[in-house]
Amino acid sequence: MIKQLKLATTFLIATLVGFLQIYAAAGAQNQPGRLFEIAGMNVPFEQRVGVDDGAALIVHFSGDTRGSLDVCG
Amino acid sequence: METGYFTADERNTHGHLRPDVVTKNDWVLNAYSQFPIDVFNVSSHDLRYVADLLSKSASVRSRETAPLLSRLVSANTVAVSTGLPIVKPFIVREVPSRQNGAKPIRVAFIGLTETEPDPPRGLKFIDFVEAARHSVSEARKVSDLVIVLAKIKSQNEITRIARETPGIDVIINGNAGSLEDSFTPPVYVGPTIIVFTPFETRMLGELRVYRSAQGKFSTKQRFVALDEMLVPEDPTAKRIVEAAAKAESETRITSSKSLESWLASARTRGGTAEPHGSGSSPAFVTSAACSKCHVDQYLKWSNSAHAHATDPLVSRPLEFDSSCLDCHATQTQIARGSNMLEGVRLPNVQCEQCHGPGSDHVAKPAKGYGRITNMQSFCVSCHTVDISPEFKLQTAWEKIKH
Repeated sequence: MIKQLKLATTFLIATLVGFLQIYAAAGAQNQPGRLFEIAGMNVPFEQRVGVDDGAALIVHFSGDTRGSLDVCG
Repeated sequence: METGYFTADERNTHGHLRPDVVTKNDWVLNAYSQFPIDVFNVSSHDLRYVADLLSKSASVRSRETAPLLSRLVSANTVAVSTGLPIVKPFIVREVPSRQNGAKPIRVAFIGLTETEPDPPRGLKFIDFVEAARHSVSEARKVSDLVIVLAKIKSQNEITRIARETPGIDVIINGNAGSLEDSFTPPVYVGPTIIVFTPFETRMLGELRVYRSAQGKFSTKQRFVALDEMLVPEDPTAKRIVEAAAKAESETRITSSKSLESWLASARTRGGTAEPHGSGSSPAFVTSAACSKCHVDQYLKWSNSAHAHATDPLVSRPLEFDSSCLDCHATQTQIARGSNMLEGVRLPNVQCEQCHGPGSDHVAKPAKGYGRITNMQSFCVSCHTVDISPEFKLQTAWEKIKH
């Protein structure tokens, strides 16, 4: 019984490690370094629009609104 | 900046924008006249509405429309007749430098669109990469930074543009087609960074550009959540949204009521021999009158699609506008140039739609009435290439030959 439990635990850990490695590889492929940040709903409004960090210019972009004027949060 | 698909494009059976969709889009323009966007990429989805705007003469265009038209870009949408872009392939904006004495930063914005859905008649799309190469080469001469605004769903295609077009600094692409692919993280393809517009702008994209002391550019991408909990509501924007919703709803009601009203009046007159004419000119007597002598022809007609041409309108009240009756009803002489909603058009495509008003012939059945000399030009006035792309006169004639 104990042997079976050990075997199951080892298998579970191995699977988890494998999954994390795959996930990390995918993440690294999509995000070389730190390519982006998200100002989510938990961020106060003043900080969402961003602080002046010396940027030479800022481009805000939108798209795919398909004639809708409503806010899709 | 707008990466494209900013207008609605729900279409009717014949591929034209529905009346309520046109109203909706008119309000989008109204909103953008008060909350300006600097550059709009015209996607294939926006093209039908935009092409209609462009086809109107400058005097007809509204005050709101004109400034927007000057901000449209598309490098790969061209006129079939000239091969030239229908709007500017790119626009250059100058941003004052924050460093003392330094020159302003010139940023070129190039527009690219996917090739589905098909463009309206008279326009065509050319290859993205070919268009991008040409425009980037031109834009590089007059700018410090080149940004492509794109609406291209295929990840392979957007990557191909970055890989095969030297000189693009940033591509901002609207690729999301549904909530499932609502967010795509930025990727580098060589020196070009590709960032993606979140689906339906559920987050606002932000591209921050930095210039080093040596004049080199670098970027940072942010995505800002939009919600009504913490983001304060703008009273003017709220008023526009409410007015737009009301106008759209009213257009739907108008379409439905116009159809109901016309159908009601048409039902009362459709099969009668009540004359519809004006003054001394011959009057319309309806197919019922023709059937009294031309039984075989009447039977052939009554089993044809022409005898049921009004039927498709009944189940599509939202698509209805007066132009539907040009081909789905019989135009009497009075109807030409007058308001069809007064009820002067007969239901279905009856005998007299092709043969002309028959009152004189009924009164004096002489030979020579109703001959059609140029059937091809007559039929294609309704069976156009857009509406009936498969239409062939000989095949069609065999079905209704009489």
